[in-house]
Amino acid sequence: MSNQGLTIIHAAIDELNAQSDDGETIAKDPATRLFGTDGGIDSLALVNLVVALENHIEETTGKTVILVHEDVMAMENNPFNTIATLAEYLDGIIAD
Amino acid sequence: MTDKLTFLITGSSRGLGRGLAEHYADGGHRVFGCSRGPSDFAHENYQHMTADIGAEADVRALFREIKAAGGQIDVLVNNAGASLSRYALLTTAEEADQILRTNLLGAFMVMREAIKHMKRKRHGRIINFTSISVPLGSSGRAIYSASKAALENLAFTVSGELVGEDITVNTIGPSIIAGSGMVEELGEAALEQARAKLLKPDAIDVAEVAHAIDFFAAAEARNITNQTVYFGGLK
Repeated sequence: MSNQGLTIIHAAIDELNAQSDDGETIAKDPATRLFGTDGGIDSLALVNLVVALENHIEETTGKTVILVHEDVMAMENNPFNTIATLAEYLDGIIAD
Repeated sequence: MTDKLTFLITGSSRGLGRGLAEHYADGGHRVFGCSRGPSDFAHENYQHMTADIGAEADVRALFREIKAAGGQIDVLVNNAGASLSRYALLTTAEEADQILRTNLLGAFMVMREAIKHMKRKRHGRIINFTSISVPLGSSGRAIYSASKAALENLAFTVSGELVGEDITVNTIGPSIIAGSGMVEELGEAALEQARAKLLKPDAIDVAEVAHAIDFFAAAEARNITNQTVYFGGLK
């Protein structure tokens, strides 16, 4: 795993955790579940994470990306399952 | 309004959008404007960008340009829209598609990108534009009114997705706007029909619309969201 995707995820999570009003934070553990029927973060928190990630990717790499689209959410191994799978997905997008 | 804010006004090359761009730039606010073509409005507080809001790539490029210019949008005046006066039975699918693409899809994409932009500061004011044609059910305005009614509904849902943040979504419905081209487009008979249903049938001007925008844009309006204000007063 390259570090850039994970670095961007950590920056986005730091931003969201700092803004959390209710004390709910996202753990920066690669195994943290983000999405899925058997766990995951609150749906609005996931939306905020996606928006923060898109902003950080643009600021870091200059690339404007859309992280969530129908094809991604229909993938058998949804990249939003965990922080680790998301980092791998971001590395692929950044490398494109 | 005493605070100096940054506005994005879509459809700012002519009509109401142009008037609002001049109004806020003259008022010392920073104004970004856009339209499909260039604008001849020059002002130290105004920056014009070319964008077709019905094209997603253009909308995303618009916000990239704003960011690159150091702009942090406080208020989106989602004004750009296309008009169509045609009886429903004479409206082609192509015409309907064009109206929906600009008035609904375009406004939606601009709003979506603006909200992403505003989320960084957790502050922002989205002001969409509907029309008095919606509650009037004006004949000859079926697709136009439907596109505007959809925007009102969009505010309902989107404002609900923004709970916990100081970002509001409200809608303004002008009646008959002086100097906007509306008078020429609708024709005297249709205008008379509309006026007959309004308590305040006089044409409104840019300053009156700006007054409504200022109300929603104020810091004190942080708990006012998903509201629609119509001008004219329905009888």
